[in-house]
Amino acid sequence: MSSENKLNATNWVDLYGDALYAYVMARVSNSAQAEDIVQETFLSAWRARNTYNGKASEKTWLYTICKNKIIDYYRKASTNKEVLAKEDETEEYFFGDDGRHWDDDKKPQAWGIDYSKSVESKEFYSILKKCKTKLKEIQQSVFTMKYLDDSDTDEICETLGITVQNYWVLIHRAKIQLRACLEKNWINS
Amino acid sequence: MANWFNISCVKATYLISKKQESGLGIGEHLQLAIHIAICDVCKLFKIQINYIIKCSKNHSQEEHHLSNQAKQSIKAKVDEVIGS
Ligand SMILES: [Zn+2]
Repeated sequence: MSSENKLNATNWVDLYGDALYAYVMARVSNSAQAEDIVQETFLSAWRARNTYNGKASEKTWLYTICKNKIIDYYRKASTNKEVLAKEDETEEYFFGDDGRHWDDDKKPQAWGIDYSKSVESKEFYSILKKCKTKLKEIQQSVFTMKYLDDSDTDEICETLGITVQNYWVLIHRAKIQLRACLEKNWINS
Repeated sequence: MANWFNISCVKATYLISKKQESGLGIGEHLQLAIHIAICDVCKLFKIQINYIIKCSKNHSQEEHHLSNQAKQSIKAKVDEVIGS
């Protein structure tokens, strides 16, 4: 029996479509992109059906392909060199007045929460997600790869073709902006 | 020497991030410690950033469903490719 007989692609969308879509939506910024990635996952899987050896489950195999599609997406986003340029308004925005210290109306405010406890509200995560979509794509990519997928720095730099110094700056700017966005929309809402 | 100790909030916040990512050299570590000791704002920034990172790591995945329209369109495409 050839390996392709083990795969039944006609059911894929019904069986795995929503789960893959939720997985992708946690990692890319918009739904149209996410739908594309899910579709491409199924199409690539079908085209590569001869490489499926049946060792992993069909589902695991599809996730592996999907993860690679997401990495391709990150890679494409990172080729937009303008976002790597040193000129980025983040520092000027938060440290505008003298370029050294926090602007009075942009500096961190007390949140009045217990920082030793992890947040349990779904609200926090949906706001975090919304805040991430406001970042530049490459900043989202580094933050997601690092803190959602637990990739190490070398792996992220290699995937995106950036230096470790680029990485530090990108992820730092992501954190500054996420903090401010969470303060505005989660704490002060 | 006085300048070496006296880093800006811009530099201090960068070092706070870098510390989370890769750790700091001894010099950077000292510069940051001195700044945090005198700057309440950066100290608060550090606490909040650590908190956000801690929470990001035990994220919960939101529920998302493909729209019917998207599902039909993907199915049609998959069927087309299977059939060809
Ligand atoms: Zn400071």
